[in-house]
Amino acid sequence: MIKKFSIQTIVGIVSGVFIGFVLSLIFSLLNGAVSYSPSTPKFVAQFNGSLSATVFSALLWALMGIVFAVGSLIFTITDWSIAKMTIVHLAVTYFGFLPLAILAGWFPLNFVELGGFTIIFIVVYIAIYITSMIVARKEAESLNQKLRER
Amino acid sequence: MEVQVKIINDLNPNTIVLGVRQHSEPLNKIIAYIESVQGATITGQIDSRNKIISLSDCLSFYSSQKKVYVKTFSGDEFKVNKRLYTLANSLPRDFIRISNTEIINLAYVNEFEVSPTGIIIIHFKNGTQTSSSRRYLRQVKERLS
Repeated sequence: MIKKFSIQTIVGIVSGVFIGFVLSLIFSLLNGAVSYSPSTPKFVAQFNGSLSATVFSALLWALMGIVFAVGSLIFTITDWSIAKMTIVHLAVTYFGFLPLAILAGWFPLNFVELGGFTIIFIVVYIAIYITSMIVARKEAESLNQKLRER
Repeated sequence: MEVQVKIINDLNPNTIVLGVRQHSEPLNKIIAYIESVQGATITGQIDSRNKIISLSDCLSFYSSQKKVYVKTFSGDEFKVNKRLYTLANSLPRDFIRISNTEIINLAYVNEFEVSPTGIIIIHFKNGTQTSSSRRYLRQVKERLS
């Protein structure tokens, strides 16, 4: 388990920084900026230069990566019910990711933005729950079919 | 070879005594044959007494607090002095692992069901039930094919 945790932590850091960098690069291009910016101008303005802003962003991307990579281990605990697995995963990623995303300057701190984000999060997890249930039911049905054929 | 059969009244049930002058190749064949006729068994303990249980009567093996128990179809439970992973490798094909703590006899499974919260429930033909870890279902499916 500790080994799995360490591996996922490294995977999280690498993929988090990579995805964060690519996304910020895309947003910099889309905004028609002349030079690269790790996040919004408001975010960068908090720092005394774009280097320290980028370093801080990279740190946050790494932490976000860790949240999702380590969080994915929850889906390997197959002794848990699908409901428990989904709810715990939602809680871990929501409370792990949201503060980091706010710190990274991805959301303005207002009720509408946060509410919208929360609703999308919940809808995605309902979809995960329903899909997992359909897969499990199909699996059970095929097992019953094989039982009858015996 | 001359065969004599003696009835020994105070012998343990399920026991056959072979009287021979020395071990021989035909004797091993005879032993193997008797074992195949009788069906495989396992020794279980209850109240520190041993009991021979036919594997075909076994519903499931489960571990609890580092001890392993066998449950029979009729609902009796006995302690077994074997580890679950050893049993998983040595028991006949119908016995399969369904979670970290349990091996079941597929011959007694009536139905697989998914509970509303998403737990795999296994219903047995004697009306009892247990739950399975989703990770083991693939192996169960392969065994049933």
